[in-house]
Amino acid sequence: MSHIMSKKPSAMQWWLLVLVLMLTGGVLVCGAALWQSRSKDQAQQTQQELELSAQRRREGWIELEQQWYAPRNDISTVLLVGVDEMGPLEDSGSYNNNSQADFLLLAVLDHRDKTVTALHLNRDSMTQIPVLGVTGQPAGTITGQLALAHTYGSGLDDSFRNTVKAVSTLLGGITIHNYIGMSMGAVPLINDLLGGVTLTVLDDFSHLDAEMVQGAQCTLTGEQALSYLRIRKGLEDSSNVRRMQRQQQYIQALFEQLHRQSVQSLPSLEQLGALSGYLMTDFQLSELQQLSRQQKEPYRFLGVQQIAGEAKQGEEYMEFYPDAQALQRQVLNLFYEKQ
Amino acid sequence: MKKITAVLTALLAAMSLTVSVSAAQFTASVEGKDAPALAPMTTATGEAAGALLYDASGNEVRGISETSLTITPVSQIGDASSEIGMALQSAYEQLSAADSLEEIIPDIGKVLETLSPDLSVEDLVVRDLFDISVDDEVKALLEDGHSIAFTFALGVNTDDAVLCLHNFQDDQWEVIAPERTVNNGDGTVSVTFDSLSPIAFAVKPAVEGIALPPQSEKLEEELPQQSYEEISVIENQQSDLPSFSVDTLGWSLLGVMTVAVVGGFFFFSRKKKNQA
Repeated sequence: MSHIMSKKPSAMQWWLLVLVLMLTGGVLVCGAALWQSRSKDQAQQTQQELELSAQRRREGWIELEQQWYAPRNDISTVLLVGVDEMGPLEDSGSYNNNSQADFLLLAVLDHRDKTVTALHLNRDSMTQIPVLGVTGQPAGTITGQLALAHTYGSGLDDSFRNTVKAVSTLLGGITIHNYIGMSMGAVPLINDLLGGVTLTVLDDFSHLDAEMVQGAQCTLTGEQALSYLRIRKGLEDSSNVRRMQRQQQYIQALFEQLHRQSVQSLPSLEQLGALSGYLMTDFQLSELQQLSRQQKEPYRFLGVQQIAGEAKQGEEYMEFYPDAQALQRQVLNLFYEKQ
Repeated sequence: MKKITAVLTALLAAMSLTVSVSAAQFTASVEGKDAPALAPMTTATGEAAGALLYDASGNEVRGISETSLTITPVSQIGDASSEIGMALQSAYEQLSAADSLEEIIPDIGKVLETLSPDLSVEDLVVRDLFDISVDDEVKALLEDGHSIAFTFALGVNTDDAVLCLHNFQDDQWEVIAPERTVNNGDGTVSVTFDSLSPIAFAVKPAVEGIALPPQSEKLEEELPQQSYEEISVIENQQSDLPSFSVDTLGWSLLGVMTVAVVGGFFFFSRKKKNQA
């Protein structure tokens, strides 16, 4: 044992020891540097991703289930609003009015795919309604039926714009480019300008009009169209859902008829001018011209969509609650593009 | 152009969706109201009332039936009595013409100070204006020192600051004392008056925002917080790490080698010395 302990390491062994220490030190230092470098890279990458996310959200992008959706800039949206007045649109002379937006339909013109989709909105949809104050300024919001949005304001442009805001809010803040508003008194006039609309009567209206028997094919006059689209009282199925089905049928029939008609037989702008008291829009002529230039060929009509949800009896009135998830998917499908 | 108008006309022609209102078997669809509705009140004896009457000492006298009350909105000025119509029209014109509520109510700022230091006149928007009147019997009681309380269904939010403005005479306005204007937290506001004429409600509207689809809204709420937290964590991690870099690595290696060389030199020096 003593000879073992008294034996000194050789020079070679010392050098080997030094070499091992150097290599070990080198490995440790390199490892630490690499780890720090990688952490820094990861931190920078995470920061860049967060900044990108924030910027995308500022630009109106939506992230759902780790998938980004960007708002489409190759579509035009037009909100069609029908108010429950028989006469021409008039200024109420007050900061509010009692005309409600009973018909709401959002037309989505897809300039890329050359299609038109219509989104039919339930007037009883519960959503945040902007309130306009006595001087027309925003005065907060209330939760109420979508139809009430038009009752704030004078009943003219301010009320229609308020309705546009309410619809945009319901659909998650999408951009609605223009509106066209109309009192329902114009419906028979428009129907007759087009020469009537032909369809198969879905329900029995014979108690109102002998021609309008269920199953019969009718070319509706203006008054018949008004009844067909408005009335539910006295019908076997008097639900609002059934009435909305008739309305969508009418829209579909109308589009098909227009496609078959020659351009020359369509109402001219002058003829439509007779409806001027019943119509209001924020379209500028230049915007219409641009829209016309974009539509070099006829767009395909893809049909009318509805928003899924549940109608409930509220404290006093009907209330419709959209299915939030279904609505989100529908909004993403119509107004956004997967990235 | 014709095709465009044709497309739009087609959609327009379908716009005749109107709910038939109030058929017996139907649930009526909502109708807009020109003025806030009165929320029902209950007397001390449990009877329903449209308003409550108090004596000069503040004791409840009795309930007032809704049939004794008349609310006249601005849109119905033409249908109102000349006295009410003129007063309401005048109030409407005064509010519409004023650039600020201070023009018609000079001491409104003092009232706001008692409510909140963060509330200023510029924050307020007049949301509703209407006339409320009572029958001659109740009117005489009010002139005799009684007061009357109403609860209005304004639809305001729980935390909304609400002021009731009273145009008690010609161009004279007052702010109903804050303790007599109570936001009940359920969308209704209760107000006690000593006299009646056109009244207005002013609110501080919330900042307008967009109701995003549920998931996005949740992410929108979480993101800024997450961003700050993550960035701060990243920054902390960076500050905790030794400040290595490629240059530092090189210098470290050089340092280790120097120690080894010096150590080796020292070893060999000792070895030679021992051999010597």
